[in-house]
Amino acid sequence: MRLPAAWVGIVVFAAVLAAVEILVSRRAPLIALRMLAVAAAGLLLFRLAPWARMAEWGLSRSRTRKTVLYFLFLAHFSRIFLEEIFSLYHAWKLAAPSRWNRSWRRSLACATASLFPRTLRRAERFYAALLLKEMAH
Amino acid sequence: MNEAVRVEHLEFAYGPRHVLRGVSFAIAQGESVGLAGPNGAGKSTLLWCLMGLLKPAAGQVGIRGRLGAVFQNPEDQLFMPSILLDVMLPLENRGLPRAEARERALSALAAVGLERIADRPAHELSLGEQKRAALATALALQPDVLLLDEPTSELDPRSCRLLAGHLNRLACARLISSHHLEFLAGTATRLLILDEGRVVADGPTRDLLADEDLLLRHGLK
Repeated sequence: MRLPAAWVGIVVFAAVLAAVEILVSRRAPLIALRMLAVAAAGLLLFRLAPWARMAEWGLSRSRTRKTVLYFLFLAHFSRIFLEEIFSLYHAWKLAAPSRWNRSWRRSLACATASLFPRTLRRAERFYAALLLKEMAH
Repeated sequence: MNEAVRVEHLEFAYGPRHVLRGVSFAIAQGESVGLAGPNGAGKSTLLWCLMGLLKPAAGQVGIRGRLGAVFQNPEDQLFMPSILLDVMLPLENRGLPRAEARERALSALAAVGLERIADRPAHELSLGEQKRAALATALALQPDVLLLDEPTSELDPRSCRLLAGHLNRLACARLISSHHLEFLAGTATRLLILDEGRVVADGPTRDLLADEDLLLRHGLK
């Protein structure tokens, strides 16, 4: 079974932590196990939480409306940013298959630099959508 | 004619690069007009000027009534946890009571055939469904003028047909920018061809699309 990408970092970190606990402290890797359990519970909670209903509830109350909107915009913009990172990463990997040479480093720098104008363009379009929905000035 | 849109001698430049050079045209109420042209002709810039998102260097834009728009990338317009909330948001923002906003949003979603998936977020939908959801957000505001930027880009033929059907049922004035000439033939009675920032042809869609020389000259064939 393939490990989901989001879990790779967590599992690697837990493995290192467990190794330190076993080799240095000479005890069962309880901290690593606890960390994995908390991460799994957090993910489960995230997956099961009725976000749409919670947002609807928050939006229907004048006290929480602005805060909910703020977090929704933040979530949307984070998704835009991640999408741009992934699409750039794939494009860069296809364009620069060989590693560590000068052109590889240069292409990495250019790809990273182009992330900002690309994200800015998406942000502009998002702002334009808000303007048309009469939600920005 | 009763004009919904009037554009006069519109000029726009990105720095030293002139994108629109004296564009003039008018659209009657309820008329559906196609906007075709090669890449870089200035179609999107013209739409953004009409939306008031870009300030022209010269000329005038007049829109009578309410304006709605559908962007090329619908994801930029849809950001709520469900498309129903996306459609409701501007209505509530305008001060409509929640129940009424919900009803109007559901009927706008029903008009584009999405009422059954109203509670799903945009990122879980196909691109065709996203475009229709973006159209519903515009329709819910009951616009008098609707602008569509490349509505068929990346859509399969079935989604194009569905979208064309929905557009043809609308009573508002429409300006549809597209490279997809077949789509324009089915949705626009009049066609504007823009090239190098100028309107180079303006006439009945059928007549202009039958003119092979004109299409070849302006990079449409």
